[in-house]
Amino acid sequence: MDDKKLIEKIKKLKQEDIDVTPYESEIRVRFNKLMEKEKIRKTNLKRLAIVFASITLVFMITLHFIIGESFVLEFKEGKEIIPEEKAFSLSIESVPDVGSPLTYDKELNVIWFVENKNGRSIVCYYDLAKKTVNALLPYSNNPSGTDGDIKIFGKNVYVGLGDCFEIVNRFSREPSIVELGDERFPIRKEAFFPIKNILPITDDLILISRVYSSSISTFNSYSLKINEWQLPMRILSPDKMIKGNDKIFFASEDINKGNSVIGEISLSEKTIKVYRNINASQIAFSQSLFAVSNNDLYKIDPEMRVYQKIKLKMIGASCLMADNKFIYIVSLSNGEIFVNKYDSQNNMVYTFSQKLKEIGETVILKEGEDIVLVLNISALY
Amino acid sequence: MLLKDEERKIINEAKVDPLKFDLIYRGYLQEVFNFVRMRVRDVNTAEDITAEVFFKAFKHLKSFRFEASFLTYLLRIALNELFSLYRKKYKFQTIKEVSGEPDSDDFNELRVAINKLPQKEREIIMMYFIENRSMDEVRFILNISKTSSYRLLKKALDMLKREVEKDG
Repeated sequence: MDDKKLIEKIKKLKQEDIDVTPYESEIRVRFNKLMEKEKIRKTNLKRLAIVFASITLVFMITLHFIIGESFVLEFKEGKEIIPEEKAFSLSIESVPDVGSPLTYDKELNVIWFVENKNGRSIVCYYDLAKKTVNALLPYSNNPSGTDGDIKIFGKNVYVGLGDCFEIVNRFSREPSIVELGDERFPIRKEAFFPIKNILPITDDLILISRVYSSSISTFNSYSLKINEWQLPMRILSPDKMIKGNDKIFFASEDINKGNSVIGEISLSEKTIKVYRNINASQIAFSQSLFAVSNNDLYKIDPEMRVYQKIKLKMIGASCLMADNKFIYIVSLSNGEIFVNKYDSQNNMVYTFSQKLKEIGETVILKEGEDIVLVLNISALY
Repeated sequence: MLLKDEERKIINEAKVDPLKFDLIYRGYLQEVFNFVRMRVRDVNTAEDITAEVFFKAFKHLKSFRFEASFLTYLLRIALNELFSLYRKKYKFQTIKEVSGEPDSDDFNELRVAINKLPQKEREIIMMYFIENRSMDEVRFILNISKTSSYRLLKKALDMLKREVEKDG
């Protein structure tokens, strides 16, 4: 059979038309039922959306309240401080064979420092009287090659060498080393989480911050126990922690925004409070809190929640340091060293500058016979 | 049956005022029911599917863009409903002998052969030759391209021919 014949045959087949009238009312009932169901579904969805929106709103308000009140402190800008300026004189001495990080031990007249060589680190001290370097065995493995930190507190020197934490008795020179375990709150997968900063609070309690971490570790030197607690608000483990007036201050970085943040740490609550409106990378404490932000020095009053700019001439990348009386801002530009010594009690700034000639990496700044600062020049670049 | 301009006007109004949909419902109920009833065994299922077709058309009325007549659009929804019913192993209505049709064994064999075709092949034969719909309408209802529609028609005819010759 060809196609034409087949088509003609198919076309002769007929289908009977069925009148809808007897079934019309039943179809209408079913259609109305479907419409009613849809109406109920839409109403329920609307109700659900309202409930969800209300919950979200309450949550947002609560969250804002929690963050606003508990983790962030609002600061206002106070009047600019204009200090009286005066020149002062310093003598600069170069110290050979002293590595970094370092700290000056005034009582023993030595410089404690870390020597890094081929992925291994060792704690050393430079005797300023005898002009000799002594290394305190053993070596610690430090494959990451990071500088770490060194601090003096009480009878001990506390040192962070890579993933190792070392305590050296300043008088007996006896070292003890603790290897820190894996970081519990890493910001990314890494083989090592080297120590960044150390802050001894008491003889037995030391705060430790680590690279690639979002936590602070508390180390008990008697029980050798380490506890880590994660910082809220996506804050990186602090670059610097300092003590002042029964408070602990920190400078760190916001992981999400990448900007510098400062604030205070509450050890009892194991939480932090971030200072809003102040983006500073360096902090120091001398009777009050000071911070460097965009090449300007600021005095911060955490109680009154006020910050004030101090009118100073600052050059390039600066290093902020402090002792009990003064704040020091040291800068290096075109082979010239600039030192600003700020006395906050008398609102005086003492200025010094000198061309550096063939000077080593580590220098001592002396005021008369007194050693004022010991620093590594590389920190100023 | 609504006229083309009248249909467009009512649909546009129904998109804003849902009560106007009743005019569309009343205008096309007979055609949709007839189309469905010819393809399902019992009236109850035909009523359900017809109600469902109008409900879905109402629900998605705003997305109707006049690519075909509204009846063709309704029939496409109806066919999709029928296909999903067939997938649930529901047996479709066989083409029955009706009055006025030539009465011979040949025609009975042809009816049996059409009923044996797969879904799409059977539908294209039914819609194009028996229900006398245009190829544009058929391809829109089956949701296939112009080329595919002619290819499908050719395939359906070949299959039908083989079936008739086998039975013969």
